[in-house]
Amino acid sequence: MKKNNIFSYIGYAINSILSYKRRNLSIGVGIILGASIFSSIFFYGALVSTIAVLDAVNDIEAEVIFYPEAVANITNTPFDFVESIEINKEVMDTSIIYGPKMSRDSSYLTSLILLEDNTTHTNHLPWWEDYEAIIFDSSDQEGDVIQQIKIVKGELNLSNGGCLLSFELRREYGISINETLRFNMSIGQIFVHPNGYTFTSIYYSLINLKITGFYQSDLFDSDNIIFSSDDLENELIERLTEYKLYSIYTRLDYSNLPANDFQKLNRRIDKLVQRVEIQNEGKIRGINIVSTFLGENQIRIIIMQLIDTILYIPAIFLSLILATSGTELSLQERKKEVASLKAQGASPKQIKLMIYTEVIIIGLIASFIGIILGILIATMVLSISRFMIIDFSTFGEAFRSIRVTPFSILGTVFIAMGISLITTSTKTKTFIAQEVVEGTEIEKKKTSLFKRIYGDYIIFIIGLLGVILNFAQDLNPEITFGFSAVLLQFISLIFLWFGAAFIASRVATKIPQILDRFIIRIFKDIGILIKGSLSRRNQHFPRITVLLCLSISLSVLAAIQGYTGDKALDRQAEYYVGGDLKLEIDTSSLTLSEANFSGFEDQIESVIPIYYANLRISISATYYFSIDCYGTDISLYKEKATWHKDSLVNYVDYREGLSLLESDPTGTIAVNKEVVDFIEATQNSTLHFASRVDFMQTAYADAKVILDHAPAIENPGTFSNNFIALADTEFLTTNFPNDTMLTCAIVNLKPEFKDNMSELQIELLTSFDWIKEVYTYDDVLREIEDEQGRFYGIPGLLSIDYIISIASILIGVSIFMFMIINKRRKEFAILIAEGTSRKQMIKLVLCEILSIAVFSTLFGFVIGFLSAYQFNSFFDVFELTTFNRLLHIPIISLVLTVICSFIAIILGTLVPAISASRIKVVEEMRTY
Amino acid sequence: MHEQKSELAVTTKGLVKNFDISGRESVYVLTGLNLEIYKGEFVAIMGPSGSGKSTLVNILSTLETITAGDVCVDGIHYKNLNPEELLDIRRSSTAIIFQNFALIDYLTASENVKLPMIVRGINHREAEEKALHFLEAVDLYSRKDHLPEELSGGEQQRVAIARALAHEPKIIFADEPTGNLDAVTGMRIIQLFKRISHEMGITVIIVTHDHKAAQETDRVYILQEGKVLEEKSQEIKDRTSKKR
Repeated sequence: MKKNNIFSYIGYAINSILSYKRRNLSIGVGIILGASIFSSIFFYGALVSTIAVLDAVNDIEAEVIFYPEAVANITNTPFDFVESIEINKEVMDTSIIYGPKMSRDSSYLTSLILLEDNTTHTNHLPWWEDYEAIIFDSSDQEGDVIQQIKIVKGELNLSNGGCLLSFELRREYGISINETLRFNMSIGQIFVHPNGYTFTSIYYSLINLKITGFYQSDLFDSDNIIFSSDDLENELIERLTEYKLYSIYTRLDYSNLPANDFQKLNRRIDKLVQRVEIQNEGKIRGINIVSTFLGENQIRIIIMQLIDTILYIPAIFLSLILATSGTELSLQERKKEVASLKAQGASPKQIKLMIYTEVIIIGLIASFIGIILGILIATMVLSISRFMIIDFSTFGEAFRSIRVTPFSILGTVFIAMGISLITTSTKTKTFIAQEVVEGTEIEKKKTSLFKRIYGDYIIFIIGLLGVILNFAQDLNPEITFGFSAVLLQFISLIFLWFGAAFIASRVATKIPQILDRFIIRIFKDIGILIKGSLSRRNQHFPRITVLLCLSISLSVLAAIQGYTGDKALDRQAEYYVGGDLKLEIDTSSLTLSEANFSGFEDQIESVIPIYYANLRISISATYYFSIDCYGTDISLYKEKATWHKDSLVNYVDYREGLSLLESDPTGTIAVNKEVVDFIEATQNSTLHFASRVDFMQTAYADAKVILDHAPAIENPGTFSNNFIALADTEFLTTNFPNDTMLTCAIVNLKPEFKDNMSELQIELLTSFDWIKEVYTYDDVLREIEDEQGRFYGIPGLLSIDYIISIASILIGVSIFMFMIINKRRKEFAILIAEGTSRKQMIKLVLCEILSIAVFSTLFGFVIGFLSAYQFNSFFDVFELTTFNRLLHIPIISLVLTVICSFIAIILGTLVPAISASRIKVVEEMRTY
Repeated sequence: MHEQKSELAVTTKGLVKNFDISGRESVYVLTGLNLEIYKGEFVAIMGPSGSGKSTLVNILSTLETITAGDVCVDGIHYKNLNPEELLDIRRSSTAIIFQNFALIDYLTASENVKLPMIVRGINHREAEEKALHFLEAVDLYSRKDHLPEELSGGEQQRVAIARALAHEPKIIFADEPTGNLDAVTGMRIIQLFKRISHEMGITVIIVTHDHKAAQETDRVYILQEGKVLEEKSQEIKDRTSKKR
């Protein structure tokens, strides 16, 4: 080898790579795995923020609102401002909205009063009553802002006096589609007097609006009435413009914005606002509407990314073990080559350079293979919404959404090469030193300081403490431990994993020896040779134990959490639909039974009508809160709807709790936890209910049951009102007949018709006018899978973790067993010479791993179970789920996991074992 | 001696062994070797390096396959035998002793001796009894619980011989058994082989460079370029040694 000529090193390395494929494979596998994990982090990590941003802004109609500065002298028209805004590349579209007062300095404002009689009510204070007009300019009817409004019921049509109302208003007042409302739209001026404000109407117009749809929005308030400027007189529009009572809603184009970074995105939006303000010489001001929204989501995303990171950490650690071991195996296999080079006068530096060059070449190739696998992993994460099930319908879309950037490629190569070079450097140094003093390598290594001070036990106990805190909170949800405890619970999973891994490496030399005693008794013909593995346990077996413990615990965690996650999705869909079908009904009738479904009676097994009344609730009859009160036939609901065992808070058996409502339908009620927490009601508190429609109508009922969730009843938190009550229909129809309406029904089908739900869904919608929407369990489940399953990637990451852990067992065990066999080649050659058969050799090598495998499986299983339990707590601590995420133990999956792990161990051992049985005695004895 | 030993223990006829180097060229190590060794004989195989001595012993002890020709050991022709049949020969008809003793370092002397019996299915108690008997035969009963590293070179080789006896073989092959030993110890080992051959009736074939060791054998085959160059009986050997 020529000195200092890099090309000679490259030539030597390429020749060596081509000649020794298995050796290169052992280095390459670890790097490929590491690179694929890291690159998938880059690809997926970049996307998860983008998905989160787009998901967050998807529900909001405009991100920036520009409005005229009240004190500025403005000669520009709103259209001039629109033109100046739209020249910015970040802007997708704008809409001029008349009505809302945006500037604090402005003393003008609008008022929209619902006229219930023929009066005009022109002197009414606008903030005292009712509504705010959101008037879309007639030119913006097809614009992106208006099209973004989510219509829950009806259609988006503002032509010919059409208007949109919030869904809350519909629920509160029972207003229906096509109803015409009469309003007084006024422009007035505020005067401040010592006695208070007065509002003087300057101009008013009476308008008739027909309800075409109900919206649900994060931007528009529940008291907003959305209609078109076509419905107003030109003079009113001119005056709104004159008094600067308009604003320009701006929707952004995210292809020109850094959607993958919340903070950068926020800064860019702020800069856009500033730029537009400057461009218009301060005549308009802008508000970044999504700033707070993004902030809230950022925290949520950070938490989810932390959970993602936690799922990535063990996979990264496994790849490190494999990369290190692969390098070590490769070095082991070139022992003779190194000795020969040294004999020819090569210096340690030259030998290192030769090895480094080879590792760099292999590392580069492996990194690029890893990047390809990383793209595949990231795509899988994005298209998996249920554990280990790839949704191929979204696979292509997910694949296309991945952006391969120079940063992601360079980052992956840099990290993968860094890992391989650091491990190579460390191992080469040790190897070259050991090679000189061959024979001392089996000696026990000095215990590290970390283990001498029992760092492994300390870390494990900290992890265990987090589990205990979690368990204590599960036993008594009232206990709170403060932020430090929450932090401890969060990090405890990592501590638990690594503490257990280090402890496993410590006891790897002891506990399996106990198990070996049994193995020796079982396999008598080779039992005597098991001693050989014992004498070598100090060398590699701690690392195999760590690898197996981590892999098995990770696969157990993935199996339990994958199943738990799937069950959580199922539970959400079950809860939302409540049976086979959920119907949304728009009718003035208060009766519903199978008879109402003429032509379909033979398909229907049961119909559970659900009534709704928006009431007021009080515990002291002095201060009232709004409450959504649902009524149903409790007996039917109890028997036929899909209940969960944790649906009621204070009754383990929901039947027992519901029986109380059943036996006393007018005096007993169920309320949700929010009612209990907020108005400080306790179980059996007597609650006072009051009508919204009939002023004097009141009723009392005892809150004997506390609800967590109930089938087909809207989830607390979906709408602004968090208070929910469930009663028998009799309670509502007896006490609040004018407040009560039939809004929903659960329909269960006869078993033979359950496969035709989609067809039935369409038939029901087309056959009955009063059915406004039909949700099937399958549709709802699919929607929930898309929104919650795929969105944060947890089912995908769990699936990837499961695959990686099983693959790591296979690859890791194989590498380790090759390392062990390489060191025992001569011993095996003697055994063959002494008459050991191939079967006995294979059995011997398999027995070598057996005790470690049994110990690691048991230990890994316990750690995996504790990790899964701890992982579940994240969802409760950070309130990431709609309701309790119950931990489900998938017995069959766990048995399969153990079987898969054992198969991987056996397969991983089999190839080295066969190679051991084929050792050439003559070759080995020649170099003995 | 030929006359006394009528039964052949080992015969080779036209034995050829070649090794493929990188799949392109072949190196011929044995080139039509013929020899006959009788039961109970103590035979030395000598020759310069590369003459094919070790390869011959490896073939006879079933550790190498043959390229052409025929080998018959204890009445069994090796040609066309499958690996299981070869294993049976290795387990109970033959035993091999290496220059470097080839003891398993984590097993005691008695465990090393037990090893071939255990792997062929003899129960532990019987194997233990026999192992002690064989250790006694090589005068190492007192060192039965010692690990190889606690034994001298000569003692290790005696343990290896005891282990070879544990096969209860018809033929023992030894590849330079005294190569790692000093002259005195080496001669003791040769005397032990001689005793095994003559007293136990086991055919012993040793590969050696040591003329003094060869002098102790019944017959010497001298190999050159993969063939038998010369065959010397005890009388001839005596004369040549006197000339020296």
